[in-house]
Amino acid sequence: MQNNLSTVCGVADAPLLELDLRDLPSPEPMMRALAAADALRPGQAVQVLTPLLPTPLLDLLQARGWPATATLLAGGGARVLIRCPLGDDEAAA
Amino acid sequence: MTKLRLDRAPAAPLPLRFLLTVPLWGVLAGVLLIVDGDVALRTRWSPATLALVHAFTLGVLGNAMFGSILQFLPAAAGVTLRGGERSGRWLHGLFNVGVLLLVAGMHQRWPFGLMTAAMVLPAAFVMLALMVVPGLLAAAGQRLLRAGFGVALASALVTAALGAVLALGLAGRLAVPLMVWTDVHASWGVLGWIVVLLATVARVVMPMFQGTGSVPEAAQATWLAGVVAMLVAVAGLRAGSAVAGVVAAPVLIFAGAGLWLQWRAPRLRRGPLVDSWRAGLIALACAALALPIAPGGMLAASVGLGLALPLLVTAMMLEIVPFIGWIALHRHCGRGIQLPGVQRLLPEADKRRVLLAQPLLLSLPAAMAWPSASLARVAGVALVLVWSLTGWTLLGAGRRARHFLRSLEKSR
Ligand code: HEM
Repeated sequence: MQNNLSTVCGVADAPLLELDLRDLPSPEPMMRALAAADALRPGQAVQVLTPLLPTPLLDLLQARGWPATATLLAGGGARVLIRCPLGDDEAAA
Repeated sequence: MTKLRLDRAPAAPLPLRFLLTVPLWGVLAGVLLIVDGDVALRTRWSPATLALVHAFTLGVLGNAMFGSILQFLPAAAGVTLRGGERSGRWLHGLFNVGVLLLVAGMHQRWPFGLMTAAMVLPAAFVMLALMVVPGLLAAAGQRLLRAGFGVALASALVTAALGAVLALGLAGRLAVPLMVWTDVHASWGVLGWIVVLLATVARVVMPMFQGTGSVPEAAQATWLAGVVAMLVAVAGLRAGSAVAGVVAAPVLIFAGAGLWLQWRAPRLRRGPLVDSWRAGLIALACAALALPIAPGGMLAASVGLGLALPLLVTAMMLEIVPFIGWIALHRHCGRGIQLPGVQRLLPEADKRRVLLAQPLLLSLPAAMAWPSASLARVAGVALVLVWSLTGWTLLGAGRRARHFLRSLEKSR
């Protein structure tokens, strides 16, 4: 099962991680994407590749006030960039 | 590549509302069969039969289809739904009140129920279309998926409109050649709305949840175009007995393709979902074969509408409901708390128990093949038991989530 974790480029002073979850069986992609988001510290970002547009994840992040952008990929699936805002108290705690 | 708007994602509980209503209708179908006995199984046209058919097609399958559309479309096709949570609640109420009125109206030959349902149910389908179609047209990519949803929704609207005309006919308010148009209505409803929607969703979810390959785009597009052509022909020709064969063929192809995909799956995920779909698809293939062979279509209907299609949607609901519950838990708790995984909210053993209860429902086609009041009532009891178990199992996800929250409070 593919589960690539690779460093793509730097954002602020933290590296941007890319997590390819497209080959995982449902609901693993959603669970792993959320776990990756939860592990972020303020100012950090992670990019996840998911088999579908992960609307529930985007919905959850939006409810938290986290910026996230999603791009549909030509071959199916989506690339989602998740950022933990600088002032996120819970993450800082 | 398309950037998507993230500000109109669906609130989690709306699909859940529809999905959790499904088992209630399954239980009600069982109660109807217990009350009516074999009267409901001997002829297509008895009031008891019509009420039972619509408890399944609208109560069980309709609620499952509405819930799946509202859950799946934003996720799989990036479709933004109109209307939000409040319209969704209205839609749920409108639809289920409409089905109650129709079932009661058919059962009791109650003109007021039939006439009101003839207005309320088409209105519910129009409302669903208004919530979904603008986003369906505006969304980018996934053309085949969106075409499948489009065909299913258009078929639902045609079915509901024809159903309303038939209901007015039954109520004595319109002179309609009932038999001929009932076949057209039933074909558009079962094939165009239910099976097309299932096949459209299956093409996406079978690879994701079951580890199968996916149907090639060209094959699915040809199948879909064939279905549309057949439905139009059915409506144009209204040719009585030929309708059965026309409807059976694409259903058989869908069931066969699903079984073939499972058989050839590179990494089949063994478990209750795969087994339930295998059993459901085999039962659906049997129903499709029985339709042109067994006279009157009653045997096919009992297997297809009473057993096969409900099993396919039940298996998916057992995946979707805990997932929605898990999302709701995340929303509630925020981050920084170790939450139970989706599988802990609804363990595989519970899903397997629901699957193992399904053979009880074979009493339904048995009661059809050897009609007797007692066998029909046994089938009714089986329906009540299986759907009660399904409902209890689905609600188990919520019970476990609440239990987790209570223990979290205590530990603080
Ligand atoms: C959308 C999903 C629907 C499906 C899948 C569906 C399916 C069916 C089927 C299979 C039959 C044939 C029953 C038999 O042969 O015993 C039937 C008959 C009938 N349906 Fe529906 N139906 C749907 C919606 C509706 C709606 C919304 C209405 C009314 C507003 C309606 C009204 C009727 C009536 C009145 C008949 C019987 C007509 C007669 O006695 O000849 N149906 N339907």
